[in-house]
Amino acid sequence: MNKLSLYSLSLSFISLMLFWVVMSGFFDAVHLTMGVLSVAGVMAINYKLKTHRFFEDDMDDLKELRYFRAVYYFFWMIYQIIVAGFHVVKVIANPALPTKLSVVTFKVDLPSAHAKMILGNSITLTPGTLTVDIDGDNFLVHALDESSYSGIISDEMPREVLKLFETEERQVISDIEITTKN
Amino acid sequence: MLEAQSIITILFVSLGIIFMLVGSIGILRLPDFYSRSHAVSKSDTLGVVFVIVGLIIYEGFTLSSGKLFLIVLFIALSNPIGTHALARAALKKGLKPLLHDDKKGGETS
Repeated sequence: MNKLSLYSLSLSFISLMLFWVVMSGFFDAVHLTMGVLSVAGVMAINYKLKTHRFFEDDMDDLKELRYFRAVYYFFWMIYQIIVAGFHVVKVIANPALPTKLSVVTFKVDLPSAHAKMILGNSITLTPGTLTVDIDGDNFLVHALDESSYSGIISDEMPREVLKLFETEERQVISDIEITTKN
Repeated sequence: MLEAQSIITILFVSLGIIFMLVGSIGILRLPDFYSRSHAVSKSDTLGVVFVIVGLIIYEGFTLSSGKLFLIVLFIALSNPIGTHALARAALKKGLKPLLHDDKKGGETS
């Protein structure tokens, strides 16, 4: 079992303490002491979970994450969700229901399991696309219609995820296969 | 006369309610499990987020709006995981997604 770095421990302590302060709204000594005690309790209970490695390249700290890119990604993601959301509303509200249900499978070339997790979550969060399964490097995505998955197969969203972790740009996804028939 | 703050709040909350309404209509109209979960995840992410953003604007810059922002953040983090877990469980159980060409099978297209 590997140990947690001081950086990782202090990061989780600071974020949990901030959460406590926002939730309680009191800054006096009694409430802050109770906060420190509860945060210590939560960290003690979660210690085994944090040290457990689900994947080889799991990381307990976010050293590889580029924080400026992460802020940019957050706002880019909100923009994508709103654009895709209005598109899905148009599809559902249309009396003809112009869906083109399809299953898209592709392979990704991302540096870590965390990057794949971020990509999978982003795909599900964007209306119109849904990550059904991730098996190693293979993604299986269910899409409502063509313009829903165009952002993924044009490599736009995977590239943004890659930029969160690495500076060099490259083609992230390959072996795209679009199925519209069982 | 309404203040600008209230007008923006009303706009955001109405937009959120419209998204939730369309999401509910989508659950009824779309043909199979996977496409219906698109409708559910959309009404959650956009509908709830727009309503809460409207409430944040109404509340102004206070501690309550910080708490509301945390609600938005946790919905945005947990909602895709729930949707993914449901869809994956359905796939593992052998539920085949209804696809475009199967649906049009009997009809002229």
